[in-house]
Amino acid sequence: MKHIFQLNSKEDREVSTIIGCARNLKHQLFRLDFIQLISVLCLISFGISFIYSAGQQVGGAMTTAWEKQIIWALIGFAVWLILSYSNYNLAALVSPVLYVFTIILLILIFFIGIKVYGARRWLDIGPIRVQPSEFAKIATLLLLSYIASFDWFKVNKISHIFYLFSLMVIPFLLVLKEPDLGSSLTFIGIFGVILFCARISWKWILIVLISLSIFIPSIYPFLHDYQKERILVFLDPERDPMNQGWTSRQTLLSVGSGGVAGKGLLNGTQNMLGFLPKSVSNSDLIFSVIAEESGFIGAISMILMYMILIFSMIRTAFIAKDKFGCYFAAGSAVLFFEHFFINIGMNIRLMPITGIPLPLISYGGSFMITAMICLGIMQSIYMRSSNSEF
Amino acid sequence: MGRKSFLIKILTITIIIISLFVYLIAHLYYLQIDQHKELYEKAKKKYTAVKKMKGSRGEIYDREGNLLVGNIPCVDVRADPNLIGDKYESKKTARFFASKLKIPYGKLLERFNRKKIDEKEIHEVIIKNQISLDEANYLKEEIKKKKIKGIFFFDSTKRYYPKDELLSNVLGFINSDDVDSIPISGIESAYNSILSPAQSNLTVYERTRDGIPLSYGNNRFEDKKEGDNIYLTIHEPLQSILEEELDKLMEKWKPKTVYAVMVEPSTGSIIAMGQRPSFNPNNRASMDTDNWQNKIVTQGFEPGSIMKPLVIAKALDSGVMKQSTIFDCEKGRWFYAGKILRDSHPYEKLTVAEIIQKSSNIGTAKIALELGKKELYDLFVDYGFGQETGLPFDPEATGILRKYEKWDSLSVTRFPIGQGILTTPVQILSAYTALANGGVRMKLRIVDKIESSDNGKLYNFPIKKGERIFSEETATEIVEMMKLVTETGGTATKAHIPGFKVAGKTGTAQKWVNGEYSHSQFVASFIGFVPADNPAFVLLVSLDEPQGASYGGIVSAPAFAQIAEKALKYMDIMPTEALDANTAKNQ
Repeated sequence: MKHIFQLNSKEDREVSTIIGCARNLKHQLFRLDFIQLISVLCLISFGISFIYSAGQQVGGAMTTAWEKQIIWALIGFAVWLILSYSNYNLAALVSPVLYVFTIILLILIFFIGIKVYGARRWLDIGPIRVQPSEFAKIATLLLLSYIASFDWFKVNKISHIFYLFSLMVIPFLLVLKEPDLGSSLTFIGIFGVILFCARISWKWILIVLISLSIFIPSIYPFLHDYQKERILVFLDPERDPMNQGWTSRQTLLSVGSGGVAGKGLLNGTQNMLGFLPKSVSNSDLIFSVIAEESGFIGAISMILMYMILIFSMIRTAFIAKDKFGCYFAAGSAVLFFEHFFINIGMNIRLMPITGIPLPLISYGGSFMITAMICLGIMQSIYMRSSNSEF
Repeated sequence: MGRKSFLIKILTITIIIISLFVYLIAHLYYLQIDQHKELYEKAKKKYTAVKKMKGSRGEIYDREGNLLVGNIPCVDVRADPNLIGDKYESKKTARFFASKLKIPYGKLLERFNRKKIDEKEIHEVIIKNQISLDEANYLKEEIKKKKIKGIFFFDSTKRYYPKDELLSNVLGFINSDDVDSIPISGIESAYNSILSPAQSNLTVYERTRDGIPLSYGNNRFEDKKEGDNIYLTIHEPLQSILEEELDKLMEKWKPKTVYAVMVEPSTGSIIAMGQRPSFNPNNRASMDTDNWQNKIVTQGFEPGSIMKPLVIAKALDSGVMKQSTIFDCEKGRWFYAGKILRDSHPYEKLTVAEIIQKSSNIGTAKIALELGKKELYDLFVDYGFGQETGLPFDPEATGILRKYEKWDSLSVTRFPIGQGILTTPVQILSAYTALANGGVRMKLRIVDKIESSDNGKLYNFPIKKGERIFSEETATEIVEMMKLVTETGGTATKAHIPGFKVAGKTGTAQKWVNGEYSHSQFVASFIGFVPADNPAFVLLVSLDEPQGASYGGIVSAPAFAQIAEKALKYMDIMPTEALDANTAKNQ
């Protein structure tokens, strides 16, 4: 039992070299987590279909968004493939560098960021526009997992918890300041799950839960007006039916009018007629389009694929051969789940509207790449686990 | 700290995630299956717009299809208060339209801020109706620039009266306010139900958030039903000739009112009909309510001597006298029933023909006495006095014809000379068709046909069968006598038209002012038909209180000749008589 979290030095040496990698390629091909691969392929193609559908209805630049998304997916797969066959411990080693780099990008946003719809979240790097907060998520996840996996790290020691917390809170605050409340909240989830998997004692969990229940209402006064408004509108959608509440109600009507089988691809009237905000109908609100056009059946199929994907991730966390792999896998599972749950939640009015994409489905390059990096490292962890036949 | 505790942690995460998944699925089930119908209906309501589309109002033409009243395209501006936006946006929008269209700001803001009536959302309020196409295009651009939302432009039409003053009293007009077209007078009012487009069809269509109907949506555009077109019996060129002359009469004699009516005797169709003062329906500012009425139909007058041939014809027909019967005209003063009756010139013995030619009151009164009181009353009823003609003008005057039981002993001597009996000009014209038409009186008509907007079918307004009042021989006799009126020795030599025989009669009625017949205020009339033996039209010209002269033969007869001569030329009717040397030379 205790060998599970010790490095097998022989195998480690083998795979950490490119030669070893090539020698084991054939062998390792069959060790891929096919459950993850299949669900990912399904979700991406599902996403592209509906980006296509939403784009044709809205017209303009969005008509060709699906083509760009294919390109992003292909780039994502290349990254995924490279990472799958690399040693994930390399990622752990470079994580401090990545972390510092993304923090710099996040700070840069305040100076040269591109403002879109009132939020400064984007950076123009050459011809492409990136959203550094997406990369910050994975960099932070890597770094926190790496630090928590050190032997000296004592999860129940308050000073250690504080180190970890400080590393999380920097990107959290920077992203919150953009402002992007939805994304910033994901950092807390990552932090929480790593502590949890590092076997923090239930006593601490209790303390955290209690303090959170005090903390969350107490941050309300520090929120932006539009963020407050969103929360208020969420609590009372009639409050401002034309603007904030409007979107929330329209998504609900879209989802509801889908029925069992939906209206069919390209036939979702809510989006087509412009009742869903056109700018986000293929990204943050794509679930509304999916639910309207493919109905309950389509939406459930998509949710099931997510379930499968997330369980493959939890399985990876369970079978990972070291602490880093375990933490990273569990953190990724939670990261994906958070995005998934908040996004769908806001589409069916369980959550306030926040700008958070649906992983692998929503249109957008930054998050597609982030997700594929995450999944590539997961494959690497899976393939190097002691019992991948699990 | 073993694998077991780790397993518990992983399981905990798994359980939390599973329960959240289940929660999502359950909620989705609730929304997409349980609430599907309700939400779908709501969504449909959002993107389905119901609009009342109105076709355009029917047009009015003359008998030959010349446009008299039409529509010009324009644009109605509407707003959806639920799309305009919040209070700030409403204010901005109201300010914009208040300044551009000169509408009170407060009124607009009130409309924009009212989003619901009894929980039902309002999706259409009027900003302004019937703005010009140019104005609409300008507004569309400005709205785009200013990012004003929820404004729709609907194609519409605006009533247009291309001939301005021409025939305005007959055509009438409509008032278009914000909401509807309200017919005020004339044909526009009388045939409003025919002219009106079918009551606002409901049209259901799918629209975008901006309100633009989808070309491919599940739409139910019902064809707009236009109003039916009306063709009048009026001939526009003859109407112009007639009104031109009315203007001249107004200038020359400065009467209170002048009017003229031209009727086709064989059918009773009104060919032209005009009055002054009048109004221009395109220029509402200049309009005086007093001039809206079609006084020819809505006001009575004492016809005076033009009544005489109508009575004499019947007297001849009934056989109580012949054309050559001689009456003693008492040298212009005749006491009867305690009152004196005068002629304008003293005459002694006159034949019936001469009585008409000279317009002797005493002679006519004596003829009427021969005819008898009851017969006279029945004759008046036959001519249609005291009754509506059925022309579509509201309120039509019937004139006053007392029951003969209530006649006093003077009545029988005064009514035949057109005193004490109130008729309308159109009643007189209808009666005169009997003289011009071989004894058959025709009912008047002004609408010739209606063109259905559905299928373009024409529905004729039938010519009503005439009513014989006296024999054709009598008619020929009386026409011969009436020809004398316009010939040398008659009262209306100025009504003579070279090359034609004109049968006619003057009338100079004293007006009843303050309980007695005035010696200074007259109604001067001339009525005649030409060519006398096969008349193309009967024409009445009448002036109320002309200044400077009072006799119909002097004031009205020349105008009759002017109108009739031009009308005959227009109608291409060849002269029936040899032109005398002088006129021939002049031509």
